[in-house]
Amino acid sequence: MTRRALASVAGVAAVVVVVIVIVVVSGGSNGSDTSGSPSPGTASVPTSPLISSVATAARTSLLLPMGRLGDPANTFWELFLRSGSSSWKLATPPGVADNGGLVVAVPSAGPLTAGFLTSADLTFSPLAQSVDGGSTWSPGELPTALVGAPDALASGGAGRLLALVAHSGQTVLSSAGSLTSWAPVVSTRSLTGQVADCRPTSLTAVSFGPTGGPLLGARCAAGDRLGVLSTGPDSPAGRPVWEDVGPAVAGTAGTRTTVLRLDDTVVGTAGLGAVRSGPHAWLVAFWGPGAIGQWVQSRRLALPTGWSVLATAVGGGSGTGGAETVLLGARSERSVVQVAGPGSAWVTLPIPPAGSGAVAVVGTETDAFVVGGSRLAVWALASGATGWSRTATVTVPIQYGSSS
Amino acid sequence: MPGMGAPAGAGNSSIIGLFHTALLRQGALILLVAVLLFVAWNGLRSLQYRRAVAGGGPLPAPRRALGPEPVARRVLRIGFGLLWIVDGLLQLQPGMPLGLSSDVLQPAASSSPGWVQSLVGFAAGTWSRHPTEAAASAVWIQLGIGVLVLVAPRGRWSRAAGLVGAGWGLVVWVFGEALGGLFAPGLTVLFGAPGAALLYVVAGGLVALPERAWTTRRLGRAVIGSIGAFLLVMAAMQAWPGRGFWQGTVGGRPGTLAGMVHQMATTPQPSWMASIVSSFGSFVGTNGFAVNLFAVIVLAAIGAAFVSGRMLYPALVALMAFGLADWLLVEDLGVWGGTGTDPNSMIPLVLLAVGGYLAVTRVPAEVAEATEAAPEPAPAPTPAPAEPTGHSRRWWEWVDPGYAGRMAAALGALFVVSVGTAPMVAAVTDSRADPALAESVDGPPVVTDGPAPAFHLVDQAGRPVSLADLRGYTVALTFLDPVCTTDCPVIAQEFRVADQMLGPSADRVRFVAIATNPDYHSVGVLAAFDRQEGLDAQSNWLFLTGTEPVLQTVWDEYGVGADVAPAGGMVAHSDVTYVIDGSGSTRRVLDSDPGAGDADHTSFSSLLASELTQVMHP
Repeated sequence: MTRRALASVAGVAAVVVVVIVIVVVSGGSNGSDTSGSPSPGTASVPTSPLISSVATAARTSLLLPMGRLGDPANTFWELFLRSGSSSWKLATPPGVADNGGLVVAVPSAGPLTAGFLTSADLTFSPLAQSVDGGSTWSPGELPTALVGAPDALASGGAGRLLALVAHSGQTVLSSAGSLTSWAPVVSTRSLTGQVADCRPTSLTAVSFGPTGGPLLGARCAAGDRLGVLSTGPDSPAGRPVWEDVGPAVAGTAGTRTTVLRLDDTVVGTAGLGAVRSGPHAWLVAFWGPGAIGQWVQSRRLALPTGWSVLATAVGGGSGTGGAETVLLGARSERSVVQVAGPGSAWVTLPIPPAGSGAVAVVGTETDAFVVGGSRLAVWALASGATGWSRTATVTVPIQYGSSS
Repeated sequence: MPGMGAPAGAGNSSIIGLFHTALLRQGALILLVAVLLFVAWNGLRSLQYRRAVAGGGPLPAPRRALGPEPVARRVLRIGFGLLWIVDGLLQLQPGMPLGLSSDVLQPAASSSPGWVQSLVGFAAGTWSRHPTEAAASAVWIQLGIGVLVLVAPRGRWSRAAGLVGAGWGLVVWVFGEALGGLFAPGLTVLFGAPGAALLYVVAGGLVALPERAWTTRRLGRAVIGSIGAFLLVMAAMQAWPGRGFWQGTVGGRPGTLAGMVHQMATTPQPSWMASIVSSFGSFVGTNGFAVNLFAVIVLAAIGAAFVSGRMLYPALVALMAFGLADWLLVEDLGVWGGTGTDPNSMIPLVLLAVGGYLAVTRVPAEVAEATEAAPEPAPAPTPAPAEPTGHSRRWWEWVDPGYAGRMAAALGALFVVSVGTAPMVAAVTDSRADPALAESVDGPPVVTDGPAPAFHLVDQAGRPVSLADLRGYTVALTFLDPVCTTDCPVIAQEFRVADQMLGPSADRVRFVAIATNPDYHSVGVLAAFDRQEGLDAQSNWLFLTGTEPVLQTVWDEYGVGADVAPAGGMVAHSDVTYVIDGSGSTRRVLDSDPGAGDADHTSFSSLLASELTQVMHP
């Protein structure tokens, strides 16, 4: 081999060695590891899970998914009801595959109304109404899809209904009592520019206010109050003017808020809001008649990094019946926090059973639920007790494969 | 029935039977042509023999008009010819018709950008719509190319064979291998980058080159240098930080390389082979850094040697050893699972490198320029035998029998390719799926002849409709749950597509569905279903309902069950379609359980349109 050839080989080899050394050194560190907490600056405001419960004077409802939770076609949402001292009973309305989710409006008096969220090729939401506590159901339908939020349906006096549907962003529909005839009330598009102090990006809940008018929960892109929208005096053109009447929150520039729950309870309107301001996120419960300056707020409940809201329950409790209960989760850890009502402080309840996926309040008792396929384990925590006790196991006759 | 669908799996016996039938039919045609070509060649030899006997001269014998084929070209031609034949034989696997699209084509493109997925989706859709024709076509095309490359050693026939191979290889690389995953994350030569088919394209292109290209070392250097550059790039990509190749495990789970190997081990294959690959996967999981370091160094060293043109022989030996190990331990030989289409990339890569090496080191001493055009079109006449008195020479009396034999074989191979190409082109241009797909899922339509049970219901607008009102129309009658989430919307779409397929004849057809949900059957929910499915504007569509007792009677008379599932399940009902003629007689009963994919759906539409046409025009 000539000297020139040797120099050529040596040159190529040197380049290769340098490249390899560089990439080996830099590749030795774990460059592909992208795990870890999101930076606070990019964190979003918490959203409301569909797993939820509402307690009224007459009954407590519970909505949660069961079955094979990793398989959407075999995940079935179930409605359970419990009245007074009775046990939890399955009351899921029949006739529609509810793999997409279920929402229910539970008024203090009057019929229960359930709505099926869409799944697979179904793009409108069937409804069901029961006047006998969930034993039998009558069918109905919405012209489009319900929004997947626990308070997407609301029922008021004289059978009036509100539904939050996915149309023109989100649209609120109202019905005078029929489950098949709906009229539009307002949509996020029509709200754009109307509620400048909230700048609603989406609607999250519907309810009836103390005067019988619609009360809407919203996610706000700006503002220093939670987005609870109500109609004020009509405009000169005779159209209703929407305004944000929600409780004030002390945020900074860039604060974003969302209303997670908005329900009509025995103490009036009860709501749960989430606030994100910079790296901090917190929950706040609020109660009131639905007018500016008349809300009673709880203290802030800071949401630790990595924790999220898994389930919510509104109503009941040892106070006036306006308790708000939240199941928080971070990986396998669970925590239940509760505020008994206006003027009360957030209390962290004893650590719930492993795998808890939902909570509900029945009277003064708080229940936690653990789903294992088609079996639902019920754990109860009496008021003031220091530990949960297993009180029942409900087996649900799920037919796997029936939605595929 | 919703919840009880039985999609046609890759082992569907009906489709496999049709695949074999198509192969036999096309095989018989090929055999016939082969026999004809053999007879023609034999006839030629007989004529030559008679002429020789009559004239007293010698029988023309095969001549060697050319010098020997360059060894590098021969290695590439024979090597890739055999690979094409192996690939064609792999296409014979019974799982190919229904398995290739879902198991090979779509996964190959799953992590590629949208435009690549669209390209592959086109091919996957074509294959899914016409699985038996496409699978049989692939067999003959690849077998034909292999034979053509092998039997045409020199000249234009041989170069044309190279071009045909390169062309089909390009089709396979683009549509079958998603461009070898070049645009997908995780690209690595260890798992087949840049795609085996691209190497077939290169080999075909080399065979197609004029033979004078093989008379210097330039071609070999270019081949070796290109392979070297490619390996250097692959080494860098293998070493690039953040691509996950350095970690044997990440968070207790196999890293990128170990995960890929473990996944290969799960492919159905002989247990001993799975055990070998799985063991190596575990080894990579434990020693990920060292394994990748070894791979990077070997690839870089071979690449550097090839690029510099120095130490070629040891580099080639190293590539052969490395390639063999990778082919066995990482690529898992590439042929298992019932839908393995080729032995993956390492064998063709090594073959190319060997060819390039030989083109550098074994240049023919002298190759006549005349070889280019000499052999095929006009072989030089042999020394003419003595002319019998009063007898003029005919072409068959002097033509080279060797040339004639090779030409007959090449013609036969080209015919084999065309036998595969014609149905493939037809499949590409036909957007209608093969009705056999629907029959493979649901069985063939049942021919009947009896009065259809009468009914008196209302349509989606609340207008009364009875079966008697539909006299004079051919009726496709089915049973749908308006709040069903899966099968019923699909069946409705199948009806809509069947309506489009019928064209003007659709005016004489009524597509009718009867509500099949004991709870949800109001006119309002039917109208919502129609809007959802875009059927509200279809004038010959009727969605009928009635009171629950009336509906129950209709369901019973048509043998349709409707069971309400508890706890959030869907109403289970029969998926059946009746074809009723204009006089009110049931002429066909079709199981209309939708299959697994779009192809199955359009297949049912084709089947339904076909049955409606037959009933309209008996």
